Amino acid sequence: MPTAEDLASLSDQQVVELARAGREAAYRELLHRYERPVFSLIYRMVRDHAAAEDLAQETFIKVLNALDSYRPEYKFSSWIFKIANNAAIDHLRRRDVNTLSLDGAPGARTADEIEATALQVTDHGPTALAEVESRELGATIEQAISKLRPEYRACILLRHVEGRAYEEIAEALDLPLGTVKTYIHRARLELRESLAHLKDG
Amino acid sequence: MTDKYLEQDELDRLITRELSRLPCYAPSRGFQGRVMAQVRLPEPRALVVLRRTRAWVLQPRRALALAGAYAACAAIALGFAVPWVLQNSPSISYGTGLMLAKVLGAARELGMALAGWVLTSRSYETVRSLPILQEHLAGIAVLLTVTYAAAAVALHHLLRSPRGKSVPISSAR
Repeated sequence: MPTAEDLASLSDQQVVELARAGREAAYRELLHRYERPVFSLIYRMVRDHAAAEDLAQETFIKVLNALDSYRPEYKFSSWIFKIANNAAIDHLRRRDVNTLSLDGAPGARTADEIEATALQVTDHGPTALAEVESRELGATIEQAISKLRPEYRACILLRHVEGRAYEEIAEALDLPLGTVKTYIHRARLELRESLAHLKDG
Repeated sequence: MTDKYLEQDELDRLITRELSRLPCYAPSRGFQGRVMAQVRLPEPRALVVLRRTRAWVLQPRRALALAGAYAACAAIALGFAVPWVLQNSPSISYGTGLMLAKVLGAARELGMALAGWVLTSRSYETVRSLPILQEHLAGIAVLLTVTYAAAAVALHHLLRSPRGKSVPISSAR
């Protein structure tokens, strides 16, 4: 019986097999592997922490309860991102949230709502100055991403934030490979336009 | 013109670098627990098969059909077995006798070995040399009986399910 450490060294397909055999530890391992990437993707799509958490929870429940229908010839990550993306897109359609602000979701009216829906950008810089710069740059990028169309946003996030291959993105978003490349190209063009002021600074 | 392309290229690289540096957000604490509470864990396949078989068999009509099928199989088997036994009775009695002799021989050898061990190990003398009087033996026998009865009562209480409550058979199903 593999331990949690052994599970960490197994591939997604192998962990799924163990989960299908009824191993609770395997379920937890899949959750551990994907909770952050899935939550990050959904959060960047919907820009509402509570909604993102509900949608991520819904995604995992759907995926983990339907492991029997998972086909191993596809990547598990593609499958889970597809469900997460569909959940986020459905939410955006329901709520009609297309343009979002870094300072909070458009529906946010009170100060509490604005604070709750504002993006919490963390830093990576080694020094205090770099920290501030990085935070500002990260915030600018996040803002520029939030202005992209949802399809472009999903593509660019999966490609450049999650580091997924074009083929995997095409599989996850149910799009032809050429369309994915086009979307990413256009997203980059739009980002370049939005961030043109950076080259002056 | 070249400068413009260089600037664009630099901006592209900056965007790519910053995108890869964007932080990974985490859901709030207890997220895993909330998800796991709503996930149906599959039972081991053998247990599922056993439960389904049991449920299938316990249907009254099916149980009756199974009992009938079992009786029919047993009758057919007997129909074949009885003539075969009658036809081969000399061989069967010879084989049975041979087997019985082997078992008896083995039991005899075991008995001899045990007797030899008792005689050579002097355990009999050891038991006899113990300072136990006749009246003590009766006391020991009573004590053993009481201990056995207490153990039986304790076991009965321990195996009651659920502990401390008597559950009607209909609700236990």
